[in-house]
Amino acid sequence: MKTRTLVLVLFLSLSCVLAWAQTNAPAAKPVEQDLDISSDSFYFDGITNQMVYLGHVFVTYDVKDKLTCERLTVDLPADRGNPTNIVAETNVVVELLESNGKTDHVTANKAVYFYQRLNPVTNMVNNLTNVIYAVTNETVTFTGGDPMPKLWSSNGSSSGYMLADPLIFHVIERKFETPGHVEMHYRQISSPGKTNNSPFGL
Amino acid sequence: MTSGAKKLFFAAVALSLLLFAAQARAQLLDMGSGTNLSSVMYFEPPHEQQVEVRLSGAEMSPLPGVALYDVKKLKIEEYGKDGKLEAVAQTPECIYAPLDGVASSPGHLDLSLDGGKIHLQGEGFLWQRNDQSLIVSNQVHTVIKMGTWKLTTP
Repeated sequence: MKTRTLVLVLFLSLSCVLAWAQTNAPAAKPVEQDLDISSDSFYFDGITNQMVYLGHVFVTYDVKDKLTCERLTVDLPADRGNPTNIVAETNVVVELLESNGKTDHVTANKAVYFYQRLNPVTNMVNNLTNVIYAVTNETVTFTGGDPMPKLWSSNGSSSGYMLADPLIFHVIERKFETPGHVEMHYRQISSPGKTNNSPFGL
Repeated sequence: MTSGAKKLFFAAVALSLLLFAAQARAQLLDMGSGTNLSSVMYFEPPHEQQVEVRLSGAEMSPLPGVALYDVKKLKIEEYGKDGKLEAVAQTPECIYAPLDGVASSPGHLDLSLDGGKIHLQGEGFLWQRNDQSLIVSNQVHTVIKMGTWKLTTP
Protein backbone atom coordinates (compact mmCIF):
# COMPACT_ATOMS: atom_id res chain seq x y z
CA MET A 1 0.00 0.00 0.00
CA LYS A 2 2.80 2.33 0.94
CA THR A 3 4.58 1.58 -2.32
CA ARG A 4 1.44 2.26 -4.33
CA THR A 5 0.98 5.57 -2.57
CA LEU A 6 4.57 6.55 -3.30
CA VAL A 7 4.18 5.64 -6.97
CA LEU A 8 0.98 7.67 -7.14
CA VAL A 9 2.68 10.66 -5.54
CA LEU A 10 5.57 10.42 -7.96
CA PHE A 11 3.22 10.19 -10.91
CA LEU A 12 1.21 13.19 -9.76
CA SER A 13 4.38 15.18 -9.20
CA LEU A 14 5.67 14.41 -12.65
CA SER A 15 2.29 15.24 -14.14
CA CYS A 16 2.37 18.63 -12.45
CA VAL A 17 5.86 19.34 -13.69
CA LEU A 18 5.10 18.41 -17.24
CA ALA A 19 1.55 19.70 -17.42
CA TRP A 20 0.79 21.79 -20.48
CA ALA A 21 -2.14 24.16 -20.78
CA GLN A 22 -3.96 23.03 -23.89
CA THR A 23 -6.97 25.32 -23.54
CA ASN A 24 -7.52 29.00 -22.98
CA ALA A 25 -4.17 29.92 -24.44
CA PRO A 26 -3.11 33.22 -22.90
CA ALA A 27 -2.46 36.22 -25.07
CA ALA A 28 1.08 37.41 -25.68
CA LYS A 29 2.34 40.95 -25.43
CA PRO A 30 5.72 42.12 -26.65
CA VAL A 31 8.06 43.20 -23.89
CA GLU A 32 11.74 44.00 -23.62
CA GLN A 33 13.74 42.21 -20.98
CA ASP A 34 17.36 42.67 -20.00
CA LEU A 35 19.88 39.89 -20.41
CA ASP A 36 22.67 40.99 -18.09
CA ILE A 37 26.05 39.25 -18.47
CA SER A 38 29.13 39.73 -16.30
CA SER A 39 32.39 37.86 -16.66
CA ASP A 40 36.11 38.04 -16.08
CA SER A 41 36.92 38.38 -19.76
CA PHE A 42 35.36 38.58 -23.20
CA TYR A 43 36.26 37.60 -26.73
CA PHE A 44 34.51 38.47 -29.93
CA ASP A 45 35.18 36.46 -33.05
CA GLY A 46 34.23 38.45 -36.12
CA ILE A 47 34.52 35.42 -38.36
CA THR A 48 32.04 33.22 -36.50
CA ASN A 49 30.08 36.24 -35.20
CA GLN A 50 30.21 34.92 -31.67
CA MET A 51 30.63 36.67 -28.35
CA VAL A 52 32.40 34.46 -25.80
CA TYR A 53 32.44 35.23 -22.07
CA LEU A 54 35.01 33.45 -19.93
CA GLY A 55 35.53 33.03 -16.20
CA HIS A 56 32.99 33.51 -13.42
CA VAL A 57 30.20 34.16 -15.88
CA PHE A 58 27.06 35.45 -14.17
CA VAL A 59 23.87 35.97 -16.14
CA THR A 60 20.60 37.52 -15.04
CA TYR A 61 17.56 37.38 -17.29
CA ASP A 62 14.49 39.44 -16.55
CA VAL A 63 15.74 39.89 -12.98
CA LYS A 64 14.25 36.60 -11.77
CA ASP A 65 16.36 34.04 -13.63
CA LYS A 66 20.04 33.59 -12.78
CA LEU A 67 22.78 31.48 -14.31
CA THR A 68 26.42 30.94 -13.49
CA CYS A 69 28.96 29.03 -15.55
CA GLU A 70 32.57 29.20 -16.71
CA ARG A 71 31.99 29.83 -20.40
CA LEU A 72 29.13 31.48 -22.25
CA THR A 73 28.91 31.72 -26.04
CA VAL A 74 26.41 34.11 -27.64
CA ASP A 75 25.61 33.79 -31.34
CA LEU A 76 24.62 37.09 -32.90
CA PRO A 77 22.15 36.98 -35.79
CA ALA A 78 23.11 38.42 -39.16
CA ASP A 79 20.06 40.65 -39.28
CA ARG A 80 20.40 42.06 -35.74
CA GLY A 81 17.72 41.36 -33.18
CA ASN A 82 17.95 38.87 -30.38
CA PRO A 83 20.78 36.39 -30.06
CA THR A 84 19.53 33.16 -31.58
CA ASN A 85 21.65 30.79 -29.59
CA ILE A 86 23.39 31.03 -26.22
CA VAL A 87 25.47 28.17 -24.83
CA ALA A 88 26.55 27.94 -21.20
CA GLU A 89 29.24 25.40 -20.39
CA THR A 90 31.04 23.98 -17.36
CA ASN A 91 29.51 24.00 -13.89
CA VAL A 92 26.22 25.43 -15.07
CA VAL A 93 23.96 26.42 -12.19
CA VAL A 94 20.56 27.99 -12.78
CA GLU A 95 18.04 29.51 -10.39
CA LEU A 96 14.53 30.21 -11.65
CA LEU A 97 12.34 32.30 -9.39
CA GLU A 98 8.70 31.48 -9.96
CA SER A 99 5.70 33.70 -9.36
CA ASN A 100 4.52 31.57 -6.44
CA GLY A 101 7.71 32.33 -4.56
CA LYS A 102 9.46 29.02 -4.97
CA THR A 103 12.80 28.68 -6.73
CA ASP A 104 13.66 25.91 -9.17
CA HIS A 105 17.31 24.93 -9.30
CA VAL A 106 19.07 23.20 -12.17
CA THR A 107 22.64 22.00 -12.42
CA ALA A 108 24.13 20.67 -15.64
CA ASN A 109 27.32 20.50 -17.67
CA LYS A 110 25.76 22.39 -20.53
CA ALA A 111 22.75 24.60 -21.18
CA VAL A 112 21.65 25.84 -24.60
CA TYR A 113 19.26 28.78 -24.98
CA PHE A 114 17.36 28.83 -28.26
CA TYR A 115 15.20 31.70 -29.51
CA GLN A 116 12.81 31.67 -32.41
CA ARG A 117 10.05 34.02 -33.47
CA LEU A 118 7.06 32.00 -34.59
CA ASN A 119 4.30 32.94 -36.97
CA PRO A 120 1.21 34.74 -35.67
CA VAL A 121 -1.51 32.46 -34.34
CA THR A 122 -5.17 32.91 -35.14
CA ASN A 123 -7.80 31.65 -32.75
CA MET A 124 -11.36 31.21 -34.00
CA VAL A 125 -14.18 31.46 -31.46
CA ASN A 126 -17.84 31.58 -32.51
CA ASN A 127 -16.74 32.01 -36.11
CA LEU A 128 -14.87 35.18 -35.18
CA THR A 129 -11.17 35.71 -35.23
CA ASN A 130 -10.70 37.10 -31.78
CA VAL A 131 -7.16 36.30 -30.86
CA ILE A 132 -4.14 36.98 -33.02
CA TYR A 133 -0.73 36.94 -31.47
CA ALA A 134 2.82 36.05 -32.20
CA VAL A 135 4.65 33.61 -30.00
CA THR A 136 8.36 33.46 -29.39
CA ASN A 137 9.76 30.02 -28.88
CA GLU A 138 12.33 30.30 -26.09
CA THR A 139 13.81 27.18 -24.62
CA VAL A 140 16.79 26.24 -22.49
CA THR A 141 17.97 22.67 -23.00
CA PHE A 142 20.12 21.19 -20.25
CA THR A 143 22.36 18.25 -21.05
CA GLY A 144 25.26 16.67 -19.33
CA GLY A 145 25.61 12.95 -19.65
CA ASP A 146 27.49 12.23 -16.45
CA PRO A 147 26.35 13.76 -14.18
CA MET A 148 22.87 14.17 -15.60
CA PRO A 149 21.09 17.52 -15.34
CA LYS A 150 19.43 17.81 -11.96
CA LEU A 151 16.26 19.70 -11.10
CA TRP A 152 14.94 20.44 -7.66
CA SER A 153 12.77 23.01 -6.04
CA SER A 154 13.29 24.90 -2.82
CA ASN A 155 10.13 25.92 -1.07
CA GLY A 156 10.86 24.73 2.39
CA SER A 157 9.29 21.30 2.09
CA SER A 158 11.11 19.76 -0.84
CA SER A 159 12.79 16.45 -0.28
CA GLY A 160 13.35 15.11 -3.76
CA TYR A 161 14.96 15.84 -7.09
CA MET A 162 14.78 14.82 -10.71
CA LEU A 163 17.55 13.74 -13.06
CA ALA A 164 16.75 14.12 -16.75
CA ASP A 165 18.79 14.21 -19.93
CA PRO A 166 17.82 16.26 -21.77
CA LEU A 167 15.89 18.59 -19.52
CA ILE A 168 14.10 21.35 -21.43
CA PHE A 169 12.84 24.57 -19.84
CA HIS A 170 10.24 26.51 -21.82
CA VAL A 171 11.00 30.10 -20.84
CA ILE A 172 7.69 31.70 -21.76
CA GLU A 173 5.45 29.04 -20.29
CA ARG A 174 7.81 28.48 -17.33
CA LYS A 175 7.48 24.72 -17.70
CA PHE A 176 9.93 21.84 -17.80
CA GLU A 177 9.84 19.03 -20.33
CA THR A 178 11.71 15.74 -20.14
CA PRO A 179 11.61 14.01 -23.53
CA GLY A 180 14.42 11.60 -22.71
CA HIS A 181 15.74 9.61 -19.79
CA VAL A 182 14.25 10.59 -16.42
CA GLU A 183 15.01 9.54 -12.88
CA MET A 184 12.90 10.63 -9.93
CA HIS A 185 14.62 10.55 -6.56
CA TYR A 186 12.56 10.92 -3.45
CA ARG A 187 13.84 10.84 0.09
CA GLN A 188 10.85 9.79 2.13
CA ILE A 189 10.43 11.80 5.29
CA SER A 190 8.60 10.22 8.17
CA SER A 191 5.54 12.37 8.65
CA PRO A 192 2.52 10.54 10.14
CA GLY A 193 -0.75 11.45 8.57
CA LYS A 194 0.77 13.08 5.48
CA THR A 195 1.13 10.81 2.49
CA ASN A 196 0.19 12.86 -0.53
CA ASN A 197 2.53 15.82 -0.54
CA SER A 198 4.59 16.28 -3.68
CA PRO A 199 8.11 15.09 -2.93
CA PHE A 200 9.48 17.75 -5.25
CA GLY A 201 7.54 20.61 -3.83
CA LEU A 202 6.37 21.40 -7.34
CA MET B 1 31.46 38.80 -42.15
CA THR B 2 27.84 39.32 -41.11
CA SER B 3 26.28 42.64 -40.30
CA GLY B 4 26.28 41.74 -36.61
CA ALA B 5 29.99 41.34 -36.73
CA LYS B 6 30.30 44.54 -38.65
CA LYS B 7 28.35 46.29 -35.93
CA LEU B 8 30.63 45.10 -33.24
CA PHE B 9 33.71 45.94 -35.18
CA PHE B 10 32.66 49.21 -36.66
CA ALA B 11 34.39 50.92 -33.81
CA ALA B 12 37.66 49.29 -34.54
CA VAL B 13 37.44 49.95 -38.25
CA ALA B 14 36.42 53.50 -37.61
CA LEU B 15 39.26 53.80 -35.16
CA SER B 16 41.62 52.90 -37.95
CA LEU B 17 40.15 55.56 -40.17
CA LEU B 18 40.32 58.17 -37.47
CA LEU B 19 43.87 57.37 -36.69
CA PHE B 20 44.89 57.36 -40.30
CA ALA B 21 43.16 60.69 -40.72
CA ALA B 22 44.84 62.02 -37.63
CA GLN B 23 48.13 60.62 -38.79
CA ALA B 24 47.74 62.39 -42.13
CA ARG B 25 46.87 65.61 -40.33
CA ALA B 26 49.85 65.24 -38.08
CA GLN B 27 52.08 64.70 -41.10
CA LEU B 28 50.65 67.80 -42.71
CA LEU B 29 51.44 69.78 -39.62
CA ASP B 30 54.80 68.05 -39.48
CA MET B 31 54.42 67.84 -35.74
CA GLY B 32 53.62 64.17 -35.32
CA SER B 33 50.68 64.96 -33.10
CA GLY B 34 47.27 66.60 -33.11
CA THR B 35 44.50 67.80 -30.85
CA ASN B 36 40.72 68.00 -31.11
CA LEU B 37 40.63 65.58 -33.96
CA SER B 38 37.38 65.13 -35.76
CA SER B 39 36.37 63.30 -38.88
CA VAL B 40 33.06 62.60 -40.60
CA MET B 41 32.36 59.93 -43.17
CA TYR B 42 29.28 59.89 -45.37
CA PHE B 43 27.29 57.12 -46.98
CA GLU B 44 27.85 56.31 -50.61
CA PRO B 45 25.34 57.69 -53.16
CA PRO B 46 22.42 58.06 -53.14
CA HIS B 47 22.78 58.79 -49.40
CA GLU B 48 25.92 60.87 -49.74
CA GLN B 49 24.42 63.73 -47.74
CA GLN B 50 23.96 61.61 -44.63
CA VAL B 51 26.61 61.01 -41.99
CA GLU B 52 27.62 57.38 -41.55
CA VAL B 53 30.43 57.68 -39.00
CA ARG B 54 31.52 60.58 -36.83
CA LEU B 55 34.89 60.28 -35.11
CA SER B 56 36.48 62.47 -32.52
CA GLY B 57 39.54 62.39 -30.34
CA ALA B 58 40.93 64.92 -27.90
CA GLU B 59 44.57 64.29 -28.62
CA MET B 60 46.88 62.04 -30.60
CA SER B 61 50.60 61.80 -30.15
CA PRO B 62 53.28 59.42 -31.48
CA LEU B 63 55.03 57.08 -29.09
CA PRO B 64 58.72 56.12 -29.27
CA GLY B 65 59.63 53.09 -31.30
CA VAL B 66 57.76 51.50 -34.15
CA ALA B 67 54.75 53.44 -35.40
CA LEU B 68 52.60 53.68 -32.29
CA TYR B 69 50.14 56.39 -31.41
CA ASP B 70 48.53 57.39 -28.15
CA VAL B 71 44.94 58.58 -28.64
CA LYS B 72 42.95 60.22 -25.85
CA LYS B 73 39.19 60.53 -25.40
CA LEU B 74 38.28 58.62 -28.50
CA LYS B 75 34.61 58.61 -29.43
CA ILE B 76 33.12 56.99 -32.52
CA GLU B 77 29.48 57.26 -33.53
CA GLU B 78 27.80 55.35 -36.31
CA TYR B 79 24.49 56.36 -37.84
CA GLY B 80 21.93 54.52 -39.91
CA LYS B 81 20.68 55.76 -43.23
CA ASP B 82 17.63 57.06 -41.41
CA GLY B 83 19.89 59.30 -39.32
CA LYS B 84 19.38 57.23 -36.21
CA LEU B 85 22.40 56.79 -33.93
CA GLU B 86 23.12 53.07 -34.01
CA ALA B 87 26.43 52.61 -32.29
CA VAL B 88 28.82 54.47 -30.04
CA ALA B 89 32.30 53.43 -28.91
CA GLN B 90 34.28 55.37 -26.32
CA THR B 91 37.56 54.91 -24.57
CA PRO B 92 39.49 57.49 -22.56
CA GLU B 93 42.80 56.38 -24.04
CA CYS B 94 44.21 53.76 -26.34
CA ILE B 95 47.37 52.89 -28.21
CA TYR B 96 47.19 52.18 -31.88
CA ALA B 97 49.65 50.50 -34.22
CA PRO B 98 48.39 51.29 -37.73
CA LEU B 99 50.89 49.06 -39.51
CA ASP B 100 49.86 46.03 -37.49
CA GLY B 101 46.22 46.99 -37.29
CA VAL B 102 46.20 46.61 -33.54
CA ALA B 103 44.57 48.86 -30.94
CA SER B 104 44.80 48.28 -27.23
CA SER B 105 44.34 49.89 -23.86
CA PRO B 106 44.46 48.94 -20.20
CA GLY B 107 41.63 51.39 -19.65
CA HIS B 108 37.90 51.45 -20.00
CA LEU B 109 35.97 50.50 -23.14
CA ASP B 110 32.34 51.40 -23.62
CA LEU B 111 30.43 50.01 -26.62
CA SER B 112 26.80 50.64 -27.38
CA LEU B 113 25.50 48.71 -30.38
CA ASP B 114 22.34 48.28 -32.34
CA GLY B 115 20.80 51.50 -31.05
CA GLY B 116 21.64 50.60 -27.46
CA LYS B 117 20.22 47.07 -27.56
CA ILE B 118 23.67 45.75 -26.74
CA HIS B 119 25.80 47.68 -24.28
CA LEU B 120 29.22 46.35 -23.35
CA GLN B 121 31.73 47.74 -20.88
CA GLY B 122 35.04 46.42 -19.71
CA GLU B 123 38.54 47.23 -18.57
CA GLY B 124 41.42 46.61 -20.92
CA PHE B 125 40.96 45.64 -24.55
CA LEU B 126 42.85 44.43 -27.58
CA TRP B 127 41.57 44.69 -31.12
CA GLN B 128 43.30 42.91 -33.96
CA ARG B 129 42.21 43.81 -37.44
CA ASN B 130 43.64 40.76 -39.16
CA ASP B 131 41.97 38.31 -36.81
CA GLN B 132 38.74 40.31 -36.74
CA SER B 133 38.83 39.87 -32.99
CA LEU B 134 38.16 41.97 -29.95
CA ILE B 135 39.30 40.89 -26.50
CA VAL B 136 38.19 42.58 -23.30
CA SER B 137 40.32 41.29 -20.48
CA ASN B 138 38.70 42.39 -17.24
CA GLN B 139 35.40 43.20 -15.52
CA VAL B 140 33.23 42.64 -18.55
CA HIS B 141 29.60 43.66 -18.26
CA THR B 142 27.06 43.39 -21.06
CA VAL B 143 23.36 44.19 -21.15
CA ILE B 144 21.37 42.84 -24.08
CA LYS B 145 17.80 44.06 -24.41
CA MET B 146 15.88 41.00 -25.49
CA GLY B 147 12.66 41.48 -27.38
CA THR B 148 10.33 38.71 -26.34
CA TRP B 149 6.66 37.93 -25.97
CA LYS B 150 5.26 37.64 -22.52
CA LEU B 151 2.13 35.63 -21.95
CA THR B 152 -0.70 37.30 -20.18
CA THR B 153 -4.02 35.83 -19.20
CA PRO B 154 -6.93 37.54 -20.98
